[in-house]
Amino acid sequence: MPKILAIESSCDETAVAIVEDGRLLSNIVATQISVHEKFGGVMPEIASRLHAENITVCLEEALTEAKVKLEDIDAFAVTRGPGLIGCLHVGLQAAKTLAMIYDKPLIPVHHLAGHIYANEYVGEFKFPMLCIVVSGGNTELVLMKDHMDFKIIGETKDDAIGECYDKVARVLGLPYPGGLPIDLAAKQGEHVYDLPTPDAGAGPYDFSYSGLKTAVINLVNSLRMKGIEVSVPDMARSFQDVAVKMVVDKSLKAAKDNGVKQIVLAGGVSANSYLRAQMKEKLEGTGIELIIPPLWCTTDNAAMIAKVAEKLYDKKVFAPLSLGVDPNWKIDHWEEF
Amino acid sequence: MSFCLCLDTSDRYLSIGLAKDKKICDKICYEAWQRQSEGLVEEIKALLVRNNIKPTQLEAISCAKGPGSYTGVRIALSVAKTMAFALKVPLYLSSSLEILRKPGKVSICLVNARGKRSYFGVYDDNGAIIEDCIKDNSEVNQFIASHPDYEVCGDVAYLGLESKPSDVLSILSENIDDRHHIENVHSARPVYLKDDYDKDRLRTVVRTAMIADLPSIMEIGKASLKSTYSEQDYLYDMQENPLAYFFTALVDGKVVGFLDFYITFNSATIVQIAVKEEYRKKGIGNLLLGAMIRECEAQGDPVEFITLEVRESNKNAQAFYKKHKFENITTKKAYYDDGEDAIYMVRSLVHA
Repeated sequence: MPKILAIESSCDETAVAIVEDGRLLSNIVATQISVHEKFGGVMPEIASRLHAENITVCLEEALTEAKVKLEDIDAFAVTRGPGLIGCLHVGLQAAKTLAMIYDKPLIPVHHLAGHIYANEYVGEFKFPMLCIVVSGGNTELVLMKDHMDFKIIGETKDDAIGECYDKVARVLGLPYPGGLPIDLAAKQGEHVYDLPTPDAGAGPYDFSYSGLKTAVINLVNSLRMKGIEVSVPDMARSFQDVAVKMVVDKSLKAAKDNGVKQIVLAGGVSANSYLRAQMKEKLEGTGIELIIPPLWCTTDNAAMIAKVAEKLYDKKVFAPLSLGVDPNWKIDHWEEF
Repeated sequence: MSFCLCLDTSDRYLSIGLAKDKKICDKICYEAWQRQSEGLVEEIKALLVRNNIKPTQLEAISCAKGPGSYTGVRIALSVAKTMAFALKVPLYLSSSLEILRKPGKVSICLVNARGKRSYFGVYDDNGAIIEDCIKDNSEVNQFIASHPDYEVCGDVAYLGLESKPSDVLSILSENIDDRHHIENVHSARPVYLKDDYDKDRLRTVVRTAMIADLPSIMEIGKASLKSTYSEQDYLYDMQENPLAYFFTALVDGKVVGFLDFYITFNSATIVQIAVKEEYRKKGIGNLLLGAMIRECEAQGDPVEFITLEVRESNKNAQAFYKKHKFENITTKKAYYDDGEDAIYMVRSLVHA
């Protein structure tokens, strides 16, 4: 079976993983948390610099841990997009260089396909399957009728859900990124503030988060102007109820309309405990199976990129050395590069 | 015969040279603004193939390290680092200004830094006369006017001057010498010049500890903590201990500090935290502790407090913890093997 080395550098984690026949031989992630914490968000230029600094250390570490030599690798895979352009360039150069030196295939992988396939480390996929892709940059419902067959049936018309969490956290004085602090605060609160469920207009499975974000900001500001104290736990709870309900409701409708056998969660927001609990509760007794990724797969890593790369290796989806990055690559266009 | 690959994508061009015994024998050069990422590796392959050379026959890599276009500099350097690492051959880095110089002359080397400023360096055959820096274009023009015997090098049309092409690949091949050799490939990094991330501040990264960090961790632990941990003890916490979290802080790619801690249910305990002596009081401890608190907050079950023991005599450490909202709870008598007392300190992580 082929040994594949995968590189991920689309945002703020430099990651390298090696797989052989579905088995992870190593999975190295160098995170940049502390640097970005200082700046209150991911700074694309700084993230790109750190990738350039970390890349060979991560390669060496992954090879040492897997007890494998570069000469033994059968293919080199890399995240080609979507992501931050300067960051993507660094991983791409490393992967292309290795593919050139050892004259082995270069495999271009879609980052979100990686997040979806991270779930294969937990369970076997059953089709048709609905993927709920929720992160700082994406909110999408993707229908899969077979392996590597992605159809976007719903998406956000404005902000991504993770982005919305970050902004609400900022208004409430909670740290960045906002997902966990809001999730934790909400556990102590009650749903006492009335927030509207925004209407996405367009398609039946589409989302809108900018209206909800604005509603929270306006409500917080108007309460403060009246001298009324805003309860952070209560506001977090009220917001989270509405934000998560939208995902749960649209997903259940999409799942029923399309007769899916399985639902998988993917992306950073899939770490949210309330979303996980709600999905479990709502799917009970429906016969639809739910796969929830392990927490380590909700952040960026190369193991998930390697998982997709194995599928592409079998299909012989290889890229020429003139491959470029695509920061806005759409998942249903994964074969176009 | 010794072959070496020379690379530069720090400005608008894509330049690849194959050098034999320090002389360029074949090259590919063209303008490739914003197409360097696509083109570079493919063209390296084309150059090697047409000279019937395998990558494994290369014995050195020489590359420009900036200043220049941030992305451009990173592209060639990422390729150069990866090649030097994979092929286990030496890496040589030259200033992107130095490689513009004209041999035999004193050269004013210039690259457009945008915003009416220039990357500026003055070089002769022996190296830099004025180190690379950023200057306002008005200042650059004055310098040029007052040094009529100096050669102006680089793509200087932006200054309204006539550009004469530079032979960057020849300089890169000549720079395969001790002065340009990079000891540790992993720590090779671009030179950016234009930023405050660079200036007056240590470039510190905190990340999960790796096996490669072990020798430095041993050294720092011994020197700072009188630690009796063996490599196996640290390795166990890094790789196997399910309760342990292990971070290292790096400056310029070198390990300068580490933090080993355990999370058990609702509490976290600092096992060891240490920063190399010459890097103390520079905010590295803050970063390590910040990373720890972040990790605690990311747990599924909330971590409510952090505990630690500190030597009674270690007043600096106690002051550090006080500053970070740790409170003095009690004294543990004869806690350490040598009989010294420990101060037991606790910080609450629960919102007030």
